[in-house]
Amino acid sequence: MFSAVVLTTSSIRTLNIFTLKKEKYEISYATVLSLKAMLENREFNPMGGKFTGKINGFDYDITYKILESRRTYVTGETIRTTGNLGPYNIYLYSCVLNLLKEGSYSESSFEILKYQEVVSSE
Amino acid sequence: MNRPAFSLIEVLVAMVIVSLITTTGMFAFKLALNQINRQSSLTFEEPMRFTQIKNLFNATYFYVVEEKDKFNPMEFKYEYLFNKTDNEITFVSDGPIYSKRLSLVSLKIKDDSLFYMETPIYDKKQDYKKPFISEDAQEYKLLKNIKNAKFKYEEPIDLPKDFETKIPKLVILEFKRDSVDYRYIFDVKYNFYQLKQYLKSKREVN
Repeated sequence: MFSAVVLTTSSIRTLNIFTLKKEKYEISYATVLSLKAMLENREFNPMGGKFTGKINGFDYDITYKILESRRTYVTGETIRTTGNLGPYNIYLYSCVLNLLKEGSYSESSFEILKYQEVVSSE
Repeated sequence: MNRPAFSLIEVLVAMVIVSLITTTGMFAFKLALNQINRQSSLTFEEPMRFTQIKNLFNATYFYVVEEKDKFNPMEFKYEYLFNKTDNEITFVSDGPIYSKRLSLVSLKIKDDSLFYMETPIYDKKQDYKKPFISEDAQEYKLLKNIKNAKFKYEEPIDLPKDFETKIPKLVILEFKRDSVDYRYIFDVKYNFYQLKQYLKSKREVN
């Protein structure tokens, strides 16, 4: 009898832990990708910066800094579907995203490319 | 007085047998739980659906609306299609969920769920069809338990003047679940390189 009670309690507890972990993972996945989509459409300051806010029950803060910036000069051939299609300034930023929810904390990092077309003065 | 009773050895043997059974049972239970966990971790439905919707928007594509010269693609008139309301979006995507052909896809909110439909934009002879979801298109449920859901859109992409359609930069799905407000954000990619290539070739032809 005693072992039956112990086994049932422990199995329910373990299943609950697994379910919570799964839900947390699922919502974190959508949240990180949502924030990444948002960042790709935000203006970045080449000097670096920070975004903070709330989303999907998480408090987030994102710190970004520039890793590299280059300019393209050569225009690709017309018949190809790859290659440079005009002069561009290209910036590579590294972003560190912190998500905080009910005391638990997770960190993820990724890179984002930003393009800026160079307008000729001619 | 001699009462019938178990000897110490008998009690010890009984205890050993009981503990062996319990340990084996617990071990088997733990294995079963791990198995359940492993199986359920393979079916993360919501992230999979999220990725499918993200891929749809990332493959937003233009399509032919007029052929001035059937044998010269540069003489075609291309346009985007992106019809958007609070509870429905219809657009052309090169990454539909269930087929590999350029398709007209629709995301619709109803009954606290998000439904999806797709229909190819060209027929088998690559002829242009009218951009409507066909009546025999099947409806699939992508997301469930999304209360008070609605779509929101963030500022349109600055497309070249050849195109009249306004495509938003971001599509945001807002909903409530377990009294928490959720926002799923999707970025719209409109195949920049192919578009530039097309416009450039067109200019050179003219």
